[in-house]
Amino acid sequence: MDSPSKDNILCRLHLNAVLFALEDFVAVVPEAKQILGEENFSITFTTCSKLKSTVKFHDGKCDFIGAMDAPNAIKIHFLSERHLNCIFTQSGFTLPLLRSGFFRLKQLIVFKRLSTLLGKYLQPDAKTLEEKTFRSQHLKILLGLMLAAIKELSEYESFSRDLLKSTPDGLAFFTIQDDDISGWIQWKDDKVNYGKGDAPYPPDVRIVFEDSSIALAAFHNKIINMAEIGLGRLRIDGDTAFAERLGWMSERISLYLENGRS
Amino acid sequence: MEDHRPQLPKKTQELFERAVQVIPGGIYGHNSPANTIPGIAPYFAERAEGCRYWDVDGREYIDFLSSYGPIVLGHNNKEVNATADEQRKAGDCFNHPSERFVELAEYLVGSIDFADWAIFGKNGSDMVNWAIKIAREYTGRKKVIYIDGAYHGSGNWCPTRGPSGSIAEDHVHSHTFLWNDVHSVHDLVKRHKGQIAAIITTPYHHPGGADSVLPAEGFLQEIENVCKSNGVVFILDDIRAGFRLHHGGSHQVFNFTPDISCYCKAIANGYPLSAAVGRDEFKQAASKVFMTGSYWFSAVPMAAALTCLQILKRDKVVEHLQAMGKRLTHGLENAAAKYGLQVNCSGPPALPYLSFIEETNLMRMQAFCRYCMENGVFFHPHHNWFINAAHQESDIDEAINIADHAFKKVANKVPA
Repeated sequence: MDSPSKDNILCRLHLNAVLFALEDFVAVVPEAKQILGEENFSITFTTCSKLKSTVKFHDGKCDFIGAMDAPNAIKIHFLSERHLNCIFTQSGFTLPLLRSGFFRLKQLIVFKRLSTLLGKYLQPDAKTLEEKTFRSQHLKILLGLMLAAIKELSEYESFSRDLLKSTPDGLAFFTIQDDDISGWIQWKDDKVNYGKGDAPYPPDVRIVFEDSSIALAAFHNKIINMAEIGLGRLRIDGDTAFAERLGWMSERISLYLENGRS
Repeated sequence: MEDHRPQLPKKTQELFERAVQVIPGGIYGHNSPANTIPGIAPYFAERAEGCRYWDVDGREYIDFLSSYGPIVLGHNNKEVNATADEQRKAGDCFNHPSERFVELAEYLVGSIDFADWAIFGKNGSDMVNWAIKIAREYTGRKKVIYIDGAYHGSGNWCPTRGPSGSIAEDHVHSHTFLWNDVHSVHDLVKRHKGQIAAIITTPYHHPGGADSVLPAEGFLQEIENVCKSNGVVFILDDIRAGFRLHHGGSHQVFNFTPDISCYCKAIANGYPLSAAVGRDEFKQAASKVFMTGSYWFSAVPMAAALTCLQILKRDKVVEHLQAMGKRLTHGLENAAAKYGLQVNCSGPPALPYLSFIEETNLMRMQAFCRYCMENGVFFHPHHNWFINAAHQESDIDEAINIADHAFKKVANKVPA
């Protein structure tokens, strides 16, 4: 497989990780649910390179259905992967092409309001994060995004793929001790699977964040892991090499999404 | 895993909290507590004697890591210290090397069968990097091939742990072969014919976090042949095992002859020194490569090394390490079997690596080491251990007794 370009990888992260985060966002943020109201619709994003993702809003919730088709979806097309990346990072001015859904202005406005609010939840200011409920919501949304992003990197980024290939199959479970947040990632038969909540099997490595402030700092690469492990605020038991590799991958996600580089 | 974080002892907690304020990670590198059993393992040492040491909170441990190898005679060895003290009184760091410099080179050349010259540094990485440069100078080639999964120090040519601080270009000329797989060596040499400066191996494979593997019959001899027939320099990284398996270097145990061999850990019983020796053919190239450091000529470590190496020979330390290592590994295997646990002690008995058979996630190994540490035995969960000359039968038996209880707890509490 040819190594995909950075634009391609970033585009995949936007389509399959950031859009995936809408699921949790609508589920955990009451304001998002309020904006959605009783609107039922789907939006499909496509690029000239044939990347595609669809999100479906129905009954007050959001389902990410990936590359599957949704009937009667609003279709938004981007001229290039870079074009999509610019729109997702709000750094471009060329509007995408609306291929279907011209007359569904109300639903487009709902989606625009949801995506703007999602941006605030994904990249909040420091003061907002001090509020415990917001922090918990932020972490839940970010966790979903990170899980999906790790899967994308494992499939399309050679560096990440090589990292995982150099470790045995395993299942990592992570949890935030003072919050109802947990998830797992499995590397098995050259594939990443993931989920939220309890692990389906006994994990090979358990990663425990003592509280949400440590988790938050860890997710944003603002802690020194060795120090926090030494102090016991971040605990890793079992296959530490696997955990270490996941940590390196999560750093790369931040580099892509926050700086548009790797 | 415990539900809540273990409470660090008072002084350890205070010291580590101070450390994280002013030192990246608090403690970095292989000494980071993150690399052992955080919260349980000692973080800071206070003093040591023989095969035991005490941390800053006064907790005592039987030491089976021997400072990750340098302590070969036991901590605080009086003879080595006396020689070092005597040299210190005369002076250590001069404008020039001391007489010890020449004496030590003569000693190594006299005791290592293929050696015609010796050079010195401080750490294993210094010597391995120097040897690579010598090979490149000698051959005029760029590429280095080494064992997949091997650790050869922190040189840029050899990928270590993680991507931080590295660029892809660092490793453009580094390629790996599989241990004990002659075909993979031949394939690489064929693919990069005329471009390979050096093949570097350890005397046996001791990858991080995995069982050690001894060389298959004829494997290292075949590498020697490949090097000879392709004009490639054969470098032995004997940093970890050197002088623990044979007084004249580990190659003598496995019956092959490298061109250059690098030593460090057991050379001076904890005094900072490393050395490389080589055949006459490479002496001129070695003289051209400029490698040096502010303390590379210090006399005290060289005086300590002379005494250490002489004691190793005089007291037949290699045999003692082997005997104590066997006693330990047999004892551990038997203790584990009592509780239905299967463990594997791989590598030479003097540097044993313990693992639970078919365990890939280290859960039981970490639990085992946790119980042992809590009861005064320092076993590392994923690094080979080092027997030293101060370990006596009573120390080994005491450790086995504690390990027995640990195995019992692992069998009862930690699922396979």
